[in-house]
Amino acid sequence: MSTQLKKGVLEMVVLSRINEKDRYGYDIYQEIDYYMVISESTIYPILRKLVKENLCETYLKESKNGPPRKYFRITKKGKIKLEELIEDFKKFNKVVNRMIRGERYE
Amino acid sequence: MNKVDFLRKLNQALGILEPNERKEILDFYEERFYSGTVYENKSEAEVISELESPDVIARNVLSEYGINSKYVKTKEERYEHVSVFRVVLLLMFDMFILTWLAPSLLAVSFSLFASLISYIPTAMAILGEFGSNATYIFMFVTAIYIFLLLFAMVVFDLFVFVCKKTVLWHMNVFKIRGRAKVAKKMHRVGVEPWFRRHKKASGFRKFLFVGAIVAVIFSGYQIYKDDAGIISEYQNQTLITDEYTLDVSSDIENLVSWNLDVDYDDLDVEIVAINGDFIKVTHNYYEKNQFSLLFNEESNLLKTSNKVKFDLFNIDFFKYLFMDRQNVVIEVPKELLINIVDVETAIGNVEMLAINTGTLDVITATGRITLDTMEISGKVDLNVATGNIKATNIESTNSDATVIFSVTTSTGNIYLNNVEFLRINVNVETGRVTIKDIGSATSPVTYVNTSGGTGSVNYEEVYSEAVTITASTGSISYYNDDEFTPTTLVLNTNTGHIDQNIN
Repeated sequence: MSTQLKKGVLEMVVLSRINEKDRYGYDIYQEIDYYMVISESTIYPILRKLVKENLCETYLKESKNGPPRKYFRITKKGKIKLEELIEDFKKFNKVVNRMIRGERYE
Repeated sequence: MNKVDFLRKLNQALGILEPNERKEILDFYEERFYSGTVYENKSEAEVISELESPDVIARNVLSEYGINSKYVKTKEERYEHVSVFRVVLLLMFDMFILTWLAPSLLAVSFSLFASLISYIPTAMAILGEFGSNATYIFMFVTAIYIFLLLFAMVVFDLFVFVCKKTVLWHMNVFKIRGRAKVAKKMHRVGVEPWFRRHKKASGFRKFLFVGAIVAVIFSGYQIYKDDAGIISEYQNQTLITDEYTLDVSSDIENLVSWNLDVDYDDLDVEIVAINGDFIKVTHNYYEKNQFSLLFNEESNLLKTSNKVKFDLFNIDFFKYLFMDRQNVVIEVPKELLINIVDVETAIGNVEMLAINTGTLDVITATGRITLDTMEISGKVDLNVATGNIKATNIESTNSDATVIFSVTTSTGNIYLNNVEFLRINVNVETGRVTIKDIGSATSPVTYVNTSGGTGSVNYEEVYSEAVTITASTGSISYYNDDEFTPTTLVLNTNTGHIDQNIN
């Protein structure tokens, strides 16, 4: 899959992973990497941006056999934003599908 | 490479970011190492092999921040291949920028800003009596000054731009570390970047610009339409002449000395010596403008002043464009002793001819000072903001160390010819200085010093024990016909030429 395409949806995908349940950075990367190969280093700035825009928040969680990990939890604002993004994407998907199938959209 | 190496390299490669931003990214990777080693039982080397190289990570991270990857060069790229050719080219260009381009731009923008100050006296001159025509003139002049202000800002910004580009170029040629950071910071410096950050100020500037255009067109049309009306109205006005005289024959006989105190806003003043026993003051004017004149026979003081009225819209200013200027001529008997002459004007010119006085003090903002054929026994202070100063054939009858002929101007030119003072001090910022015929090879004066700015300084036939000329960008020339070597000779200019035949 083209990196340019991935880039556009990465924020939505990351948010959706956090929406499912609270996750830590590497976990998010692995989840996404399972479906589409991405560069790990692109995830972290996105996470940072999400926190900065109050779409998700972080907390430290102790672990049984290691140092604490930084977990990400989606906020109310994040949920609204995610719904918007998904809605936008659906519309976009529809339009693109029509175009590549050669249909006219009135 | 272990974890510490990896994180250090990553930290270095992200050097352009703020420390706290960098720390967040590094924290992620530290946690990532824990995930690999503690939870998944891998070695540090294995985790590193899973990760991208620190440089690649940095590129990706920085591109998320919108930073061009050209700033993120590898160490090798950064410190090797400093091209000798580029360095030489840079040095050649430096000479051009530092000696000419940057100083001239700065000087131009500064003199533009400085000339904005003249708006105050100009506005004061217009703000006077109410007249519908003057309203338009006021609008017109104000608009022109707004254009001047905006233009000055553009020139100043150009100066900042040149400086920024020069610094960046140096850092690029010498591959200076952290230049991207500096570039990022410098991006915020300058007039335009400031306006980009301050939306309100930017809006105000746009408003000023559009307003000035509208004002110029509107008022220009109104003036054009009413042009003939204004001219005829004021050309038909007759010049009124008032004369004030005082018999001072007894003071001449008893060798009693007089002082002159002149303080005018917009009148030219001319002080001349005549034959006779009367002090005679002639005031030529169109409209009486708070003029006062007082002969104080107890303290032997002639005190005269005029003030421009502060009513709205004074038409007087406009009269200067079409008619002779209003002036005052003070005639003083040759034989009368004069102790102090103190003259102050805002926009009037000052002229003195054949007056003999003790000390002389002349201050004017935009007027011209002309002195000719005078004999002075005290010190002389001539001070002008933007006008020229010309002094010829001045004689000093006192060799005391406190007797100094000092001349100060910011943008005017100075011309001194045959000023026989032992000590001469000249201060100028952008004007030209010409000093001629001071002393002789057999009897030199004590010092003739000039602190110049961007104008040229020319000494011709100046015979003085000490000569100090300093200039920032102006050229200096010093030529004497007769052979003579000053004990102290300092000719100093940052970037101008020095031409001389004095050793």
